[in-house]
Amino acid sequence: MQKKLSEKQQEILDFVNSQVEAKGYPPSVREICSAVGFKSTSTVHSYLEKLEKNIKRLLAYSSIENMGIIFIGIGLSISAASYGYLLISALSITAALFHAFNHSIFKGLLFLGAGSIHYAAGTKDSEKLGGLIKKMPLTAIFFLTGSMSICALPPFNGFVSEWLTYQAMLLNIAAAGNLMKLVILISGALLALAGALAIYTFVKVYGISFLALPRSEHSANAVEVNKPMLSAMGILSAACVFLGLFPMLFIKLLEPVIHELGNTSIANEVSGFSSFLTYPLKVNNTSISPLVLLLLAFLLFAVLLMALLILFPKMKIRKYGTWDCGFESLDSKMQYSATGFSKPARIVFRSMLKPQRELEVLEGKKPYFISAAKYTVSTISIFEKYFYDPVIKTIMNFARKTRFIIQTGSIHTYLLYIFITILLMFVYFAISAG
Amino acid sequence: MPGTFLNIMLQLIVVLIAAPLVNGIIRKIKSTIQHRKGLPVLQMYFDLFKLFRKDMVISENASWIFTASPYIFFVSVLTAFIFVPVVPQFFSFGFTGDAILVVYLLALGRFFLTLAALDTGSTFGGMGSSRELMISSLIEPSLIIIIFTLGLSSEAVSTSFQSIYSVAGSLGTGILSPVYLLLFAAIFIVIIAETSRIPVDDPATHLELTMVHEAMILEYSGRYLALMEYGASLKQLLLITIAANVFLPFGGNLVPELGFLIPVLIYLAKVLIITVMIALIEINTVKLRLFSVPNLAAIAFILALIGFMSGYLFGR
Amino acid sequence: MEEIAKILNIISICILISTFSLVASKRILSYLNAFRIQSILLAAVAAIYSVYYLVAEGKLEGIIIIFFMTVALKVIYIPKMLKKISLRVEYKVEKDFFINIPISIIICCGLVVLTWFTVSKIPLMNNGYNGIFLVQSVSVILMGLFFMISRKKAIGQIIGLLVIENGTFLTAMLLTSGMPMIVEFGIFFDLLTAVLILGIFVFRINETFEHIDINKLRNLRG
Repeated sequence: MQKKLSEKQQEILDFVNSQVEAKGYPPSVREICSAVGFKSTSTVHSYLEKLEKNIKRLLAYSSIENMGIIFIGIGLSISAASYGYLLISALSITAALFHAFNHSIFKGLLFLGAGSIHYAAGTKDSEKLGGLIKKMPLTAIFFLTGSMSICALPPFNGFVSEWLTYQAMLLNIAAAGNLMKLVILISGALLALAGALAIYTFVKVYGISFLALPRSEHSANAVEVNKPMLSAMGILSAACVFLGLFPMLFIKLLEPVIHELGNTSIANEVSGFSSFLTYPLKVNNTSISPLVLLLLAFLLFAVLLMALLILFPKMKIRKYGTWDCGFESLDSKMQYSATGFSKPARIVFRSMLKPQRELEVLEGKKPYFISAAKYTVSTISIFEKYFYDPVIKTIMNFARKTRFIIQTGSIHTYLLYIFITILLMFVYFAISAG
Repeated sequence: MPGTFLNIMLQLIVVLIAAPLVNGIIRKIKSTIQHRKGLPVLQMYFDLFKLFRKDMVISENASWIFTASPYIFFVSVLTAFIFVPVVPQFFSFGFTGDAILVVYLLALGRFFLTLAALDTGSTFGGMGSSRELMISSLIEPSLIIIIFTLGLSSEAVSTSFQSIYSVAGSLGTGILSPVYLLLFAAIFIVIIAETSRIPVDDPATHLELTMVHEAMILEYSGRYLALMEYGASLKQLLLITIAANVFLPFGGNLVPELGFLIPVLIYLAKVLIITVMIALIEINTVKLRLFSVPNLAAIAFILALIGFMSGYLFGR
Repeated sequence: MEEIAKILNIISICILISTFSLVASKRILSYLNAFRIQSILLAAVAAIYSVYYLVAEGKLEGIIIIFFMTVALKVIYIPKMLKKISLRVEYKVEKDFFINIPISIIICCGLVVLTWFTVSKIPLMNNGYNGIFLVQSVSVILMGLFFMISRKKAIGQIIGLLVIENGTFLTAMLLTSGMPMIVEFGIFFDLLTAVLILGIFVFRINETFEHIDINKLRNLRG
């Protein structure tokens, strides 16, 4: 989703685009400076920053969801402790801390991936990427791992911490009073909604950036990034998988912290029958074992493959163009764009996102003979507009008016403040002790 | 251990055989009521066999995700089925998974299904993916509420299927309790949404205005298409199994001498009942406009929530 | 302890009087003299303590080091350095005040009364000389702070800081016969560094702004 551009930004964008069209490569920062009339390259840099913010911004916003999950765990822990159920409280805080740790790993991985994309393709704008999986296969695998972890899909680490959060919610509903039961249930439902929307988001990010055809020259010419960047992402991906398969190790590490916080020991309660092979995670009577799950899945997959190979050998795979209904000139513009992919969500949640669109006819006569038009879609950040901005404005106004009353710049006034505070403390002590 | 493996294999064999039959029965019922001869009940088996034998044609734009997704989808649904036993005798691997795991395994399948649809660069794929993801996002909360309510109502407060199955049994009256009727209605709507049936999505259409699931598998052919279709019918059977075994809970332990034979037959009868209900709903309603589906999802949510409140909060 | 308590009482009263005379003066040299007298008296307190411990308990306490350091730094070195700075800065008498001298003296008396009032409410201060000692030393601290507030020129700030520090030392010595050695050393060296740096700054401020009126620094704000 692109915000409306200011005049200067539009000018820079037009200049860059025209240069790319004319010469085939984008202009340097100095050229932009001289073309647009800035004196300083850092201003140009800041404008360029503002124009492409998409993937990283998306990742930052999705952290809000994960913070919500962590706070659910913390809140449940406090609630359970207030009813006196220490074990449930310890479980909830374990879920919260585990999710915080997992989040740091997979979010870091995703940001590194976005950085790699930026490095290789020169842009963070989803609308200009595509087809990167063929050019950057390893980055694609690592980014896929990160996406699957953040969507809480088994067998990665995001799944284990969300599972623990769900279990904590379940036990808390059983333990709490009536109103709390309803509140926790609704928050569980919202967690499910947020999780499914996370899948929506990351299918969009991954699908539009990595799959199908490249949408611009930049991504058509992308090259795999260098080994240090790959190894960094690889280490984090391995951590995602490892934590997903062996969650008990982390919970055992967390043991002293939980003990400190809640005076109870959770590891034994949670470890099921902890033979190394299965390492299941057990809460109350439910348990999961991601390792066994993975092994089972592999087993089934092997059986399936064998069956297929035995029953239906000699399969040929033929490559051909995508189905185009006979149109015959399918190009990258026919694919779904990121904005289009998220349209159902914009419509369903329109009361919160307040999407706005504007069609500006540049040339031609409306409504039938338009030769050039500009269509802008944007959403408003309602929290920013209706909550944060007014509050900030009020505080800043107040501060601006009272600034010179307190900060006089005179050392004597500051010393006077200290002096008066000491005297007042004496008086207070004298009066209260007497 | 070997007993466990035997149980799992039997379970998988039963469901693999039964899944295409459900599709066939629904089609037959629809065509009979519409006074048509219709396709034979066993048609899907023939279709799958034919598709498995055919060569595959893949788009030039596709990557390994496109070729891997059918396998991942199929295996994830099959793995999920291990944790939803069709008869109580097959309760063996419960320690490795519970209801929430099943939900997330289905989500894994959906993740790859929708991702692969974007891989070919065709507009249909993106369209189907975005619609499917929107619908499933709105349905998830209801499903979680249902699972939570059932889990909480069980003796041992837990979401393992053992506990969930034991709920209706412990009540004695099964589905006739009004609480569970509400939950049954909610889970019925969930089944319809997740299996892409009318009124949420039409499984027999190929018009871009109306496709959701079909749009995503448009590019697949041969073995891949077979795996996708088989996987979808397995997912359908899984959800029907959950509904059948929780809400129509009789006949778990009849005639124990023959082992699991009679319970399996009873299970198949329960599945038949729910299949008939789905077919009747398909005939009597029309496909909803895409942006009216949120209303349906909201109805499911409210039904589930009221079921929770009356069944767990104030009932008992 | 009782024997020397009377002597200590007299000395600390003299310190209080010297602080009053500090507040009452207008010339830089008088500031320095008052400070010097105060420091000599402080050193005397330290000396009395060390002699007492030598005689009564037969060992040489660390407090003798305090004596030497006080004499070396506060009686000799710092006043000399400050005199040098004040000569270079070339002003001798402070002309305009925030608060004129009679009123400052009244305020200082008020400070002593307030301190006495507060200390009288502390339960443990009612036996022996402890209460008196506390009142006197805390008054010195407060008067030093007040001195810092009421003087415009930078030299006033430095002297005020030194007086505060003197008061702290006095409190420590009178009530608890000294602080741990490390702490005392630390404070001494901090003080030395602070005075040196402040001295340099005063000089620099004078160079840059042609005066050392701190109040004019207000123009830099915003």
